[in-house]
Amino acid sequence: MVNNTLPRCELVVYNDWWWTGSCEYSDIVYGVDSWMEFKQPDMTSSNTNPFLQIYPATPIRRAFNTVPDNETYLGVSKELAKITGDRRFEDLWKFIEERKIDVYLQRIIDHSATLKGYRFHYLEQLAREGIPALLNTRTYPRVNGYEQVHESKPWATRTGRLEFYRPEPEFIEAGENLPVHREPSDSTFHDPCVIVAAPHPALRPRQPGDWGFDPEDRAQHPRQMRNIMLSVDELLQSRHYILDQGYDHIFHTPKFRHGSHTTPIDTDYMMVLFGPFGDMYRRDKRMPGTGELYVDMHPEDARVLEINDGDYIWIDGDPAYLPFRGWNDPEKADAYKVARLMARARYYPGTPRGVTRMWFNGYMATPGSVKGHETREDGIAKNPETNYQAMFRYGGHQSLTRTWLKPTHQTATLVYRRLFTHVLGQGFAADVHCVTGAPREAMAKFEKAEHGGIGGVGLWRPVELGLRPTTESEAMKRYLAGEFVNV
Amino acid sequence: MNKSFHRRAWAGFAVLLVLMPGCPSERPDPAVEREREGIEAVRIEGTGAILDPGAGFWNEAPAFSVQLQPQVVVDPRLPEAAVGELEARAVHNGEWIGMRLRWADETRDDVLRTADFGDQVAVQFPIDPHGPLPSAMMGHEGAPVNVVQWRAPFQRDLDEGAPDIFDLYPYALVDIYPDEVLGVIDARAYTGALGVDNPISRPYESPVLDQIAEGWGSLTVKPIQLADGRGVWNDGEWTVVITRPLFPITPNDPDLRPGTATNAAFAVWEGGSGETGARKSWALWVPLRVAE
Amino acid sequence: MPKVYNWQIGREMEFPYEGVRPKRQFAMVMDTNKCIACQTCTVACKTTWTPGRGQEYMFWNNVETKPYGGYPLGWDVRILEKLGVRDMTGPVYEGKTIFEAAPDGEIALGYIPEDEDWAFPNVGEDECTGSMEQGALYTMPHMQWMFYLPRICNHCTYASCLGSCPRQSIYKRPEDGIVLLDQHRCRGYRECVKGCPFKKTHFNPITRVSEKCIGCYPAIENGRQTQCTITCIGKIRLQGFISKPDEAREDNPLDYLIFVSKVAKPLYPQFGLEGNVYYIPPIHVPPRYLTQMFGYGVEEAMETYRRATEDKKLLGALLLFGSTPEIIERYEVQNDTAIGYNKDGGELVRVPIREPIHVRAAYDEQYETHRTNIT
Repeated sequence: MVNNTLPRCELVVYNDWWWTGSCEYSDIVYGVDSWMEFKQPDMTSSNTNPFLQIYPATPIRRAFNTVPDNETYLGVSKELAKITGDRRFEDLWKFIEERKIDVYLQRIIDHSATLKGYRFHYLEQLAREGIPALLNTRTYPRVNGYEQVHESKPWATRTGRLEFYRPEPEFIEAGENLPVHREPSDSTFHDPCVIVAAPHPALRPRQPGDWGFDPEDRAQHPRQMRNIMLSVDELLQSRHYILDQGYDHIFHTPKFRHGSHTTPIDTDYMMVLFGPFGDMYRRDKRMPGTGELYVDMHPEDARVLEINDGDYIWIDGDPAYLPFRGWNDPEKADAYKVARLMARARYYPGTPRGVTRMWFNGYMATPGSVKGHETREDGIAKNPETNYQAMFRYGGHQSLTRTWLKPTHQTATLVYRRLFTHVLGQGFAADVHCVTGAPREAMAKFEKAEHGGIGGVGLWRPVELGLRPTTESEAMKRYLAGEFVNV
Repeated sequence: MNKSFHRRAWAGFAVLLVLMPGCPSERPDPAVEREREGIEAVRIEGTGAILDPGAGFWNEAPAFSVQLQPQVVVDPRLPEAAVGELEARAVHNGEWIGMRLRWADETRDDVLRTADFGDQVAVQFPIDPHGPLPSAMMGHEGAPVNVVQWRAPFQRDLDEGAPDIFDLYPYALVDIYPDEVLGVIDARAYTGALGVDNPISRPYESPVLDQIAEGWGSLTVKPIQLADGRGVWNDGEWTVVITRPLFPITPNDPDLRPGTATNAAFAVWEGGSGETGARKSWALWVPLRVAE
Repeated sequence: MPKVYNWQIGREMEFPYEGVRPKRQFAMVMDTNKCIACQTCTVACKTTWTPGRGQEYMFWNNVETKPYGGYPLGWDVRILEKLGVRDMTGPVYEGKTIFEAAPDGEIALGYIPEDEDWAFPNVGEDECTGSMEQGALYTMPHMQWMFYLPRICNHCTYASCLGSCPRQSIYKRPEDGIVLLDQHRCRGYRECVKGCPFKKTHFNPITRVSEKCIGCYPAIENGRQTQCTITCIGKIRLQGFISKPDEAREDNPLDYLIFVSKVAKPLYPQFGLEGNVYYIPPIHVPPRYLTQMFGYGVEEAMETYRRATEDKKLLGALLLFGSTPEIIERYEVQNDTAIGYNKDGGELVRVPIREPIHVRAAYDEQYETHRTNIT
């Protein structure tokens, strides 16, 4: 994204209430109110939880000279209307200009099956008192499929039945018209992204020959269109092509441990608790902040690579396109330095051998944070110009992971239920057909970079003390077994 | 909780007396004789507080070797104290008395962290030189003592300024402190002992605390601080001057006017060995004569 | 040393002071089965009480993963190792407490953690014991296990910090049993840091005296539960008052959990402090480890907890966790509803024993809309 995509964008504009990595790479950043600072109410809900979130207008004073986020849309739209002469840009946000957000929200309520009947002002009053609002779903608690199971009502599908066959051409083309197993796009020791199914007359996906490319081409994009079918045995005998180049560990970046969408985790207290390497006093000045991201490795895997618990390690992915295409161009040396991933290794017995994990959501290194890390007296990875705080010394999740754009997630033919209604639709709908796949998987190679002890000398202190998995002291072993008591 | 407490270590008291310097021995020994004579505070020229540990007049005062023992009378205690001997000299100028104390200490411990303690030295005087001698172990009820205690961390504060967290942990990362956004009054809740003016949090103007005690656990910093001093560490040795007015000025000041024959007791804490509070080495009463 | 009665070890023991129980005793019960270590309590406590200078490293409330976590590093391993192997074979603990095992010259068995031991407050996070075999199935107790242990000061009846302080700078409030450290009287000797086996007193290097959890006493004085309790998103905590062991009331939810159903157990009772924070043990963890940590009777507690649905009083008490910010002084279960009352008998909260199921009409005639389950 940073090195291959952004350079081709003329302008990147962003609005946020917290200075994130995205802000670091934007040409224009609008500072907007955080939820606590809203001077106009707002409302949101998600399609899977039973709550309606109301954000009441608050009397809390703004920490900075920010504006409501929707005023940034209004402002930009006004200018676009001026340039293009098309008033619709501006009219779309007229309710913001007129401060009639409550009226607009009431209109949404009036046209939502599960909200109709609510009065927005009443909900806002409740929210001010800390009382949440529920969606008026058919049942409480929400039991999906209740009407279908108990009342034989049709499902929101083309036939009204639960459909286990997908007749749409995109699905037939992808070989996913029947329920089949598709091997992970990348995170597997076997041939990635292949269809695993016994031959079946209904399964006739389009394959490289049909598209006109080499069947052995497993590059990032063709891989998702190969649709090669293997039996289970064939799959188990196959090997991911990159294993033999030393990229032989699965690298997963599952969601969060101490944060959620848009929650800042780069504050001192959050970072110090984000995993086992936190220290408010940063006795080791190599730390990017009060804490940092790390890779969980099976202890035996780490030992083979002569990596100790707590060491800093380099993490590399497929050199064909990671950390970015063209990384080995000498002119890109500075960008490569920022992009090549470094993190702590942790001995973690809870993961199978060969499978590693790093929590998602760590604030990535940027040119500014690397500059801070290398030039500040205290070594903090904080951009001297913007105060952006990274949770990595170098690199980030995107050094290794890419979004895999599954073709069957990009169809425009499915029948679906329109959001918050009881109406069936067909064709494109953003919530149904836009790819939402988040980058989460890769194959990785690990290499020891520095010792884990303070300043790169010796072992990480908890290892020295015998408190770590597989390097326990006698006392720790006794403790684990509960042998300080006779029972 | 009931305030009467029973510490098992009282049993150690009798043992201690045998070990005390100044106990009668069978044959007179010149060193013992000197100890019996005690410390003489000789008269020097000058006015005001006596603060300079390197001044030439110290050579006019006889050096007295104070033998120190580990405090083993009350818990908590250390079986072995780090400092066994202290050289004491005393002078006065008709207004202030000065005592210069010198002892070997390989480590200069004047920074306090969670597990780091500071070097300290204290001199103790009976408040009333004419009444019954108070217990040398911090006085007893009805017989208070004055404890003037020099603290290495206070000396450092005065010489270099009080530390902030970045002096203690240079790479610390802190986003914000309450006092950076709240007013002084609202932020006071987050200032702990500093906010309630605990006298051991910071030195007022002197590295020496002027205190009164009437037994174990009763040490109290006096509301008006008169004592002063100065300490320097050089080449494995502390040289510390503790000074205070000769004449009582505020209630419970010791009377040390010229011509007084009184006593002084001593305690040393080697911070690097974890000595603090009752974990110290000490010497019980040594005669102190303040020259006319 | 005077003798005091410690009900958690079923006998009299030595303590530096005469045993005088406070009029009321602050207490808390935490259900470890429900804790997810989100650290909301930790941050709520941190931002409320210890954001100041010199407090950076302090977490009066912390949550650690057991068995590999510990703040400070290895705190319980170290004190257990010092105390040695002890019998935990009956309701009366015959081994030595930390007061009885005190070495010559010490008031209690203890140690001062190294400065660096206070780093890595979340070390061991999510780490389980041993390695999982391919294709293995979990059975109870789990072969590979871990759980989360949230910790605050235990506001002990026989507090070792209090007993260790040579200046009596630490005192137990007679009105609520909260253990406080006098910020004016303390001289920073750190005897309390050494003496507290739970390592819940902390030295402030800027103010140069020690500090500790204050049990949110300004809240308690106003009938409100602590910050760590009311911010808990998992509703794992119930804070209130525990009765004296011979005066337990069945209608006090804490008494019911601790004395009647005995489902909540003290933390390391063998230390001899009679702590007032109680834990419902995690039911998937090997009992021997839990006996080491929570004392005799752990297996019965686990069994009682598993069968909580058979005891409506127990279930009612469990459901009151996190149901109200106010302190529940009395409760009852009426018509499948647990009702909590404040000290004046005013009703605070009603919690249904079973979550009610509501089914709306498929078509809402009044508002002319379909009520669907899928948004």
